[in-house]
Amino acid sequence: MGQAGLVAPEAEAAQIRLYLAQRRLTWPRLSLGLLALAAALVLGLAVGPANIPLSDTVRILLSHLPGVHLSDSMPAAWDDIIWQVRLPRVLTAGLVGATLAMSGVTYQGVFRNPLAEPYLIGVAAGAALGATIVIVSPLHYAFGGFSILPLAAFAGGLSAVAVTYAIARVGSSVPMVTLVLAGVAVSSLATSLTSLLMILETNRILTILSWTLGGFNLSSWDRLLWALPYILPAMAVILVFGRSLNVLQLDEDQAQQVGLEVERTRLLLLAASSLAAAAAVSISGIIGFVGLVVPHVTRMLWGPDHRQLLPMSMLLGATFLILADLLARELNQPSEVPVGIITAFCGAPFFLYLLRRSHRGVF
Amino acid sequence: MGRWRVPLVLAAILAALMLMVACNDNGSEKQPAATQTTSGYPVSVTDAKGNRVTFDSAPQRIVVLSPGHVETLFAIGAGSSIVGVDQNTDYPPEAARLPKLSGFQPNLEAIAASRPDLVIMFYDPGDLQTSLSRLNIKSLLLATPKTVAGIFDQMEQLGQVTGHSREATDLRKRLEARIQAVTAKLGTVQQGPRVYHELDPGLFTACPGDFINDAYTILKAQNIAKSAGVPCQLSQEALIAANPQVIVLADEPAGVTVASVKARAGWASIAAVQNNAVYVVDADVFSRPGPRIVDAIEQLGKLLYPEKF
Repeated sequence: MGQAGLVAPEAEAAQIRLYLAQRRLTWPRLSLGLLALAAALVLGLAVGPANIPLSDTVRILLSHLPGVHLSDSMPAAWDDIIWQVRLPRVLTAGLVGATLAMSGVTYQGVFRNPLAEPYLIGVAAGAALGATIVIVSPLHYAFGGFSILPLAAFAGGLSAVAVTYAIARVGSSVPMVTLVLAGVAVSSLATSLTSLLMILETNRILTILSWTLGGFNLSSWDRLLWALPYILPAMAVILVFGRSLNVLQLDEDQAQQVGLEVERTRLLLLAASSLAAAAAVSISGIIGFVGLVVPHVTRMLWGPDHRQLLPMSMLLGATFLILADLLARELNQPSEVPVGIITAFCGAPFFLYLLRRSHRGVF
Repeated sequence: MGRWRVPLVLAAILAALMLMVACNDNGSEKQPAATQTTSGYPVSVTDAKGNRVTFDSAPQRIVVLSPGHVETLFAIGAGSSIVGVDQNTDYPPEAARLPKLSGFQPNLEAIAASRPDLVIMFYDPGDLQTSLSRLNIKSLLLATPKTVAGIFDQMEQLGQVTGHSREATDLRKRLEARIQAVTAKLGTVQQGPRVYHELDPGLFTACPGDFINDAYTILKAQNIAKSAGVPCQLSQEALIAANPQVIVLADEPAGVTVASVKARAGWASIAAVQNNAVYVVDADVFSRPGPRIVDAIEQLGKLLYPEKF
């Protein structure tokens, strides 16, 4: 699509009809993705700075299954580490990775722009502002017990998208270009307000920065379960309606001829992916790169048909972020490395390699 | 070159105006070298950037862009020379009433407007020092010390610069004697309790290279954070595995309480949580490199070794 300007529209349309004619989500590819995700999950659960033997990790996990009672004498801390810290952390990383990749594919598809990513129309900047307002306020948000930080970030993210949408709407339609421009402006505004609050309250800079950098160090079942009711329905909507992203790649008239209500479909997809991205950001902070690059990597590996691009990107995104987070807690233990640094440091060279190797130029 | 001429001329005029204003004010207000300066001038000190700064007399109008140095200057009797402080300064009470400037985003114009003859800062984001030197304002970059002894060294350095050497040396002796009194009570302790010192609910902590870490070393406690970096962030998993016997919370302003820490998922098995050894301390006393670091050490002695105090 990035090359769309270079290809005659008819040729592009023909190309896409060809994709539509084929079923692209093949079993070998799906099982490969599932296998990679399973391997990442196992690795993420098995390795950690606490150095708990794998056999004990397995026993701890088994002991939490209903009806299983193991009479082992293991340190109580191990059970806490595996069950309360590592498992929710790995699952959160996976969920956030899948969500960001899915939102990335959707945004790129809806905006027909290879540079689109889940934070394009204000989700991240709004979430950061929401979180920052709570951090600098005298409210007790601190982690431990019920925290309102994710709530505030979620509300901030959705508000920013709502403002962007309201500004971009012209009558009953929403021009995509206006939406992107409004999103950029709303994001800048929110970011500048965040910076202002940071400067006014220098004592809280550390907290604001660490939230903004993102990560899974504070993941917990509470936070994970909080985000699921938003992310799972959004995923369902996008997986069901995702096939229409293929049609949206045609120009508007053609898409309408195929029988698609272009405007409504776009907005539905945008709303669902923004909701999911806001929920993901609210529990993980702003993690860059995944939402932009995982969809491209998937495209380069397996082509642009959204019927496979969506699920395969989600599997790849989850796998990638689980592994990146594994490095985040392993590289400089017992300290953390911000996971965003790892996603960029490991992902960028691989992306560049694929970019160099790929002569198809398909976006 | 032509297109630079106008801005250059403007800049030159501006600079000249500023200098004139500065000179006029110096003439109308306090004259240096008239007051309490004792001996030892000229004094030369080298700051953290390696700049060698020479003082022919005691500075009379000091802007201090870090709360810790304000506390030090007041403690050695040089507080009356301070004419501007960082916005977070709130101790001692008389310092809190001084005009506020930003040490985090220093505004050159606002600093120059307070007509300082010395600006003290603990970090220099936008090369403030060069800008100040263009205005003929002396500056010292005194980076946050890595050790408690480093805080005392800076204290003596500030004593020399401000003409309060004797007070600074005396204060150092008194503070060191207080630390001595604390360590004497530890007696034969070789290895104290394992400690987690929280700077932020994001699990940021004091690592080697932080003077707070040095305070724990002086008290023979074992800081569970071992990797370098200031500040550094612990893995939650590594923290639980390290099983600290004492948890010290220096992030109460962020809303952290003893109860909220005990309620954290997965923390129930930590020794400090089980034995109710989770304590809240004053975030300012425990983060500012100044004389109150000894208050912190005395308080930590009691928290770490309740049976010995």
